[in-house]
Amino acid sequence: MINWAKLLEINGLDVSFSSGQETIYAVRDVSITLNPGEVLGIVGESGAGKSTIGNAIINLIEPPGKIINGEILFQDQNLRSLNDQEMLNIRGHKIGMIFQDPQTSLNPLMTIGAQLLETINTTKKLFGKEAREKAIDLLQSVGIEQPEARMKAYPHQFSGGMRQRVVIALALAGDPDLIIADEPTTALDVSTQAQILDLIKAICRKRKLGVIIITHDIGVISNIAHRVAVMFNGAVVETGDVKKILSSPDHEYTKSLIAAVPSGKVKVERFTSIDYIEGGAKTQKRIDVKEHWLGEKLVDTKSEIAISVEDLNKEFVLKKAMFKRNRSNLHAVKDVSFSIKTGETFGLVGESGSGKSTVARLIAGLLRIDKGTVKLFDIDVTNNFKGMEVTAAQRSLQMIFQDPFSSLNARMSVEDIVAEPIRFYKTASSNRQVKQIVRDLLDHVGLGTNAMIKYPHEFSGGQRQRISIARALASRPKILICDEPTSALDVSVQAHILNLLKDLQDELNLTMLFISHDLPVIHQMCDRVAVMRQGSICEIATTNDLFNAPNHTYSKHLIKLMPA
Amino acid sequence: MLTFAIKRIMQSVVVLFVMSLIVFSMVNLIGDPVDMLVNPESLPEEIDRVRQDFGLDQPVHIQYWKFLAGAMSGDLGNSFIFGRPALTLIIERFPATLELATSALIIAIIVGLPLGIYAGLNPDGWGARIIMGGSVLGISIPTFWLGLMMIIVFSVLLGWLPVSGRGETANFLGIESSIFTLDGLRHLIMPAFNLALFKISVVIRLARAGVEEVMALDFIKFARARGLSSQRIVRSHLLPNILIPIITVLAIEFGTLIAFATVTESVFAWPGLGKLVIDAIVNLDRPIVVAYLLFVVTLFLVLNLIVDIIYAALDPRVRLQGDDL
Amino acid sequence: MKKIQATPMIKENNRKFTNVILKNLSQPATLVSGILLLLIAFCAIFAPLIAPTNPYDLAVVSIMDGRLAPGETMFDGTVAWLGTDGAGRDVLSAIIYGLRTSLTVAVCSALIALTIGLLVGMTAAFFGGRVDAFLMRIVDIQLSFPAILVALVLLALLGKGIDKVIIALAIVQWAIYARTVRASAIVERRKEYIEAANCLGLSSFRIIWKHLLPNSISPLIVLATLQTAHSISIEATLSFLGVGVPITEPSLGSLIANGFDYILSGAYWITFFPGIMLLATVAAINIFGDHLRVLLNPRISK
Repeated sequence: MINWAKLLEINGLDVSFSSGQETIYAVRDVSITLNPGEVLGIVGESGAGKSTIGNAIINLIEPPGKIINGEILFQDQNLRSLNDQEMLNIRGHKIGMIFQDPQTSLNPLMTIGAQLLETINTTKKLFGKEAREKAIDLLQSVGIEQPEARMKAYPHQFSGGMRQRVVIALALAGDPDLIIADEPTTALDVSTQAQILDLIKAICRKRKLGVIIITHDIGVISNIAHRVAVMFNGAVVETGDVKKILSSPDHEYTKSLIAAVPSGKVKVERFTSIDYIEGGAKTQKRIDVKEHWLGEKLVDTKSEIAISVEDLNKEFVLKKAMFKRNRSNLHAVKDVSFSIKTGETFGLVGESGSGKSTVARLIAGLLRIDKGTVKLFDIDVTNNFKGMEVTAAQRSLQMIFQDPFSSLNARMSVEDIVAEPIRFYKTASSNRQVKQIVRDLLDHVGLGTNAMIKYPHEFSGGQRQRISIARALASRPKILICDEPTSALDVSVQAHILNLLKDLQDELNLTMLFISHDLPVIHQMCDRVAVMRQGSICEIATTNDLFNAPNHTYSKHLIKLMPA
Repeated sequence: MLTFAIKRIMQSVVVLFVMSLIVFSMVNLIGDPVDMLVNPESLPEEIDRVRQDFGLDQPVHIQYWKFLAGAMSGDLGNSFIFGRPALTLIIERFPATLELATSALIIAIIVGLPLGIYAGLNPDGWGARIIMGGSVLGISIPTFWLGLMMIIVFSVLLGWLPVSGRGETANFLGIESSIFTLDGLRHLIMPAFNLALFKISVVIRLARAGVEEVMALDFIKFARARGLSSQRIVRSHLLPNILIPIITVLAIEFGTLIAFATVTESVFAWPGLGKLVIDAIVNLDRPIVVAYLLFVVTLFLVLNLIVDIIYAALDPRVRLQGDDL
Repeated sequence: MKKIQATPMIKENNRKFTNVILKNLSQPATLVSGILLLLIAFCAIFAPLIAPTNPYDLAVVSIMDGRLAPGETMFDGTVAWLGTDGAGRDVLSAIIYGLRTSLTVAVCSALIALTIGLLVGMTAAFFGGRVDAFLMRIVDIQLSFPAILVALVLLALLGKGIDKVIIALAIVQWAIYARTVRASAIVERRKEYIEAANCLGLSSFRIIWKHLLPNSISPLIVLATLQTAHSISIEATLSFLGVGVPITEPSLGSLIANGFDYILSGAYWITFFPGIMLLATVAAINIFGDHLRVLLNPRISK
């Protein structure tokens, strides 16, 4: 093996996407280098252009994207000067690629053995028995047990993490010198994530590969990368040693990006110095809650317990069948009990499929409860939709949802969305007052009054979450259930939304049920936390106790996996 | 897999039963067939005798019960016009229709599939535009009118092909068909193309949509990133993934070809099922209509069943359901 | 240091229906098919004012004008631009009147089928469970039979008449609307804005009417366009087979059938021109519908 001083060197790369007359630069004047055996992280938020760089290297940019300027030197060869046939001999042979979603990266109709063999045939020109042996070797090296038997399996017979291992084996089939991994762990659960990162690290060390990891997650970068390039708006704003950049960044953007990352160690009141990205967000004109319509209480409750849940159970039917033995049910929530004090923020944490969102929907009355009771301010609302008192109690609970793109009705203006509960329940005296309230609420959540006449698609994800919050406030809630409210958002936007939620809670003395898979976010937001796994609660503890001295083995496991 | 097939067969039997009920009761709403059978000047006794002979004097539910019992043993009554068993007439005419529909389906696949895949792979080229424009035309053009125009051009003006009817047939490997004689082929070619045209357009659109959908998927991009050549990606990754849905749809489309054959057969006087049933409808020949409908319903149910089984057999995600490793 | 304003990478299209139509009228295919459609609709609505003669006024039609070739002059001095048929009717006038019948049948049946389909589909989607399973099983059975076959049998039972053709076509089509509405409403129903509306404590009626319906409707608009083209074809076919509209109010299909008897004698124009009109109408609607589909599909639309 020849020892190249520099494995990859990119100089002044410009990539543009043009549609009609408009041309947008996705990548602007980017220069990076990579040495053999080194892991370079490229970090940035959505739209920063980081994936485009990966695609540019192997010349697989989707039209209408085009490389405008710059050179890409790989092992002293300019990849931009190669024709299509020569490029085929680079892809898979010299440069391997790993994509984000292992569910969709593999052909569902071919066995993984066949996919491996075709890649080995093409890249290594090995056939028959030799190719088969190599394929089995590869599967073994990425940690797949019984590789010989697994060759005959189809992708859908593997779990997500195992599939990503197969994808890595495929990327390694041609013995490449460079691996580009585009968000390789984003679609995976926390525990699987750690295993895959360890695997990539080990392979890089053993084979002396250069690796480029493209990710939005600073935790991943700190875990695996030696050097990091921080991207913002198409340009690299800062490059350097990971430790140095994470501890003392130079550029304002890097500083505010790092400040926005919630910590699992130190709890802060608010996220500060995070204003760089939203371009110095407009100073919000906040209303005085005490004198405003928003502060008027419908009924003043004396109850100290806002939500009390006892022995909650829910099963979903997965497969219907005439005979009982063929039926299959998913016991999504098993004997869940907890209570939340008025004014408290209670966290519910767990991996995907642990049943935490189902609990939220049961409490909110969106799903039928199979067994157990839910009380809001001592009023039993279990599967009960009748009576003034129950309706009032249910309306005092509002939800903020995960997906900002589907949680707003696309065919209604922002004004109509926010005003709907006020108009439906006639809680304001005149149409003029309704408009005034909507204006105030939008101002209060930091959107400004011009938002009223627009439609949801004209806003970004973070802004839409603000609209959702304004809509919830229009019901004058006392309880707010936040179901992964920021997991679809970039980290800097997340920090803003979390700040807003904290402020609102202080002003309105809201009780909050905060659901997330993200431990550091839970750490920042909650007073007490319940850890859920496979439908049951393992442990309920104060945030402090949970993060410093977890009791249950599963909690310990989760805390250990949390990125430093 | 076996339980799946049994379940589907049971469902089909239920549907068949329900359809027999619907068909029978609907057909019984058509005007009194006795009017067709006897001379309007006949004596009332004469009319009553005919009524009794055909069992038309009994209550409807008894008539249905008799009909059902008969149907079980393959007896769907005698044609009022031909005076012969309806089912026999249908089975006699079926090969001609089957021949027409099968030829049309084969033409549709041979012509449509390559054009559709080409258009999907080169979506912005002129070739694709012409193909897709042609397919809109093919879907919009009324089949029967096109048939008439074909007759005007190829038979009347050019005199190349015969105007109507089915040509000589020959027996080959036990199959009696007109594709084995030159005369038969000359008669077949116009009706077959006429019937195929609409399906060619359907196949083009299906194939193109399939190619566009699959080409955008991640595994195609990953296959390119692995260094596989374009030909290999098309052959072993693209084609299998678009063919499964196309095969399923085509099996269903074969049923509609049999139905649409009524139109083509009327235009070209092709002696098949369609011609028989149109005449029966006009002449209120009730047993033929009932027998035809039940025959077609059964055919469709069998086709649907075959589709489901093919689908389950081709797609490992369905075939291997539940046996996760 | 100057702050860089973050610009979103891809500006989202304004996907409001009217804007989409207006913006894309600049595409030649959409424009041409749109103009053609307007023209056709105009002719159909104002047929008595536009047609040179009234082809069904027995006082005017004379057998002496029978089978004149295109461009010849009729007995009363008017020029028969597209010739005359066997009974001496002006083919051009007959086409304009026939268009009217064809479009009436297609549009009326589409509206009836759309209404039934919308009700059934929404009911199935909103209530789910057994109601859904039952309704969709009926839809499945209906859709497993080709429309032409079902319509043929229905008309054999119902007899001739414009109203009967409309009923038969509505019965043939409702199921496809129901399935489409249900499919899109079920996707929408799972979205979080419906859960949010439930949280706000809105009534079921309001949730269906204000939230579910407006968001499920755009695939229906496309379908209704394409189905209208389809039902024009089916009606023409049925009339050609002799089970469609009565000969007193001929549609384009019956005009073509009328000319069937003359093609071997060379009087091609009696079938040719009505067929061209039929083709132009159906193709224009199909092209327009295809473009609508691409434009309204967020997955394809850039």
